[in-house]
Amino acid sequence: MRHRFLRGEVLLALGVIALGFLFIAGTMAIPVSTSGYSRVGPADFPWGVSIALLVIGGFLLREALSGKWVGEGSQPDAPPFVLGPFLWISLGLIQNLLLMEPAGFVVASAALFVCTAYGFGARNWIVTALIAVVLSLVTYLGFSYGLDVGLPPGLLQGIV
Amino acid sequence: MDTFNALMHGFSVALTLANLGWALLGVTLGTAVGVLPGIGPALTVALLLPITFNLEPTSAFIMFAGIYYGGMYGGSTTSILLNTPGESASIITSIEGNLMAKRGRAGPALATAAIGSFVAGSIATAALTFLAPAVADFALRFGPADYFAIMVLSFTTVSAVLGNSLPRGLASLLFGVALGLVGIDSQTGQARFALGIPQMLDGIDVVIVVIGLFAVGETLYVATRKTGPETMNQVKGATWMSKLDWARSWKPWLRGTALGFPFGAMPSGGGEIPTFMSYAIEKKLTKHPGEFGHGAIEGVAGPEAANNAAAAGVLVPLLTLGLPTSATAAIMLAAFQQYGLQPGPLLFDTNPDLVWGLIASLYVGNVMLLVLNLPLVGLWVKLLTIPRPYLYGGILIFATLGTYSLNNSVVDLITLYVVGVAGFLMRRFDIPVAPAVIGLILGPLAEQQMRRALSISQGDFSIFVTEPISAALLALACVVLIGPMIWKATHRDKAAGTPA
Repeated sequence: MRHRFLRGEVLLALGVIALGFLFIAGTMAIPVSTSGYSRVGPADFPWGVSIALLVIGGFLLREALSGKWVGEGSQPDAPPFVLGPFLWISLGLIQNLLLMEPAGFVVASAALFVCTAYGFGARNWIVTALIAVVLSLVTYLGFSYGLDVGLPPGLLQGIV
Repeated sequence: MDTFNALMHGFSVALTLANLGWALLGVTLGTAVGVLPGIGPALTVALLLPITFNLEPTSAFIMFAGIYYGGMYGGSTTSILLNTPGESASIITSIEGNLMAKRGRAGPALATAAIGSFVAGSIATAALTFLAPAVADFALRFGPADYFAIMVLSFTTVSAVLGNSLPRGLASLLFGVALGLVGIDSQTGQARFALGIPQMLDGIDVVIVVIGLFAVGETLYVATRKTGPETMNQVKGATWMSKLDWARSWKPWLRGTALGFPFGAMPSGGGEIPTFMSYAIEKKLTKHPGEFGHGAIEGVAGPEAANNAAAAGVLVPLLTLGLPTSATAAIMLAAFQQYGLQPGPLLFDTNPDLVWGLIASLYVGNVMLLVLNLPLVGLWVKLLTIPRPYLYGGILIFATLGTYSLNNSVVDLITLYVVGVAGFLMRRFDIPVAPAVIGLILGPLAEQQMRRALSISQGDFSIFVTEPISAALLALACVVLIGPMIWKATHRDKAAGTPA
């Protein structure tokens, strides 16, 4: 049987190697004083980690190129990857971090909930939105007043 | 006798009304998150860390321990009824357990899992009670070189044991260690890998990484797999074990415990291996070999007991050496650090209330869990009927809430998303995530011990092989790392050598 070329796995292995090079660049940027008391400075351990990343990246690449990467994602009968939900949940999380402070926790969380639920296939907008608002509001009130955890009020400043 | 007195003192701490309340809250939460797919004990403790900051450490740890044990009980319920194991250590339970449930024997399966967990948990907690002080005594002799060596051993075993391939385990570990390098170097004050972002100087919080990998990564992974609707087995028929069930269960419970505890207690990582071994042994010893593969009760009783005994065992290296060998243990180590406590041999002397209160609460929690899980199992099963879209929507709300409330910083939310995508890729390509968490928390400690050892030896690396304990531990690490490769190579040679 011919080995299957595992594209995602190859890219991931290359990513690990790239991370190794990034960390080498970062390690070289660490200022090291040569006259210190300790002979082991702040850059030595990072050197080890960076080189280890490169070596392991190489092993991963070999595993991927030889088609020996056995895992759920590489099985022929694995459930196919669907992009839609990934984008919806990403949209939810990114709007959440953008809106958290200007619009407040309740708005950002309710929107995150709706995006996630839609990504998981919920199509009943009214019920989803209702649960999103109630859950976000109850969480906000509970954490702000019950647990004294300060969350950004945003648009609801002065209302609740 | 000393240990006995200390344990009694622990009970006096654990049995106060307030701490009983924390234990009850912990085991209830733990069972709930264990039952719910998509969240586990590690994530729950991570989410609770920011809000338990003002809590008394002893009470917080009693609650965390309850969550830890509760997650094991709850996880078995899900794997029996849904065949989607909540955590890796209950994969084996789901094989025979799910088949039993399909044949209408869900009741006995749940009962043998719960009672087996109780038996194993209690015996293993007793073993922990007497083993931990002895290990702590021995660990007093450890110098920096020895600590570094045992961390290296832990790194290699965790990478080798979790997941299917050593390079992938090591990649996960290194990802964690690399993230742990970010921030100000604790010994020289130099900024490392902070990219000029002020918020990065404090380093990447382990809480964010755990939430990112376990909540965001898991949500993305589940959402992007197109699978058919899952079917849940109903609890019907006899919900109690018959005499025959008891007779077939008690030996697997004890054998599972005997396997699980030592494996958990060694710095080797978690409950997977002992559950696999327990399953294999029960399959060999059973008087009903025909039932294996069709729902044999021994195949549930043994692995479940092994799983819970291993969970107790994991606390031995955590409490006595500060060495976490599972994701939950790693986040508990982070909790210790949050309170400015360093687990290790000295913790038994400096914080006896906490250590012994925690150990005593494990006995208490086990009893609570038996009560919570046997009669109330129907209630927990209701949790499984929460529609997935709403369940994961709620998980992400709490994930972002927990992350944001750490430092009230949007930078943390960016980190959360990036780590979440990394976690998704790891799940997708079958790279275990637990080593990353362990690497993140243990990496900085390993570096610190290495540099301490090297400043003692004035830069001479031979200190790691001339100190006997360190040398032995490093040799062991080499065996773990290279042993399987040599075995495989010689094995292949033999296979090739025999004429076909």
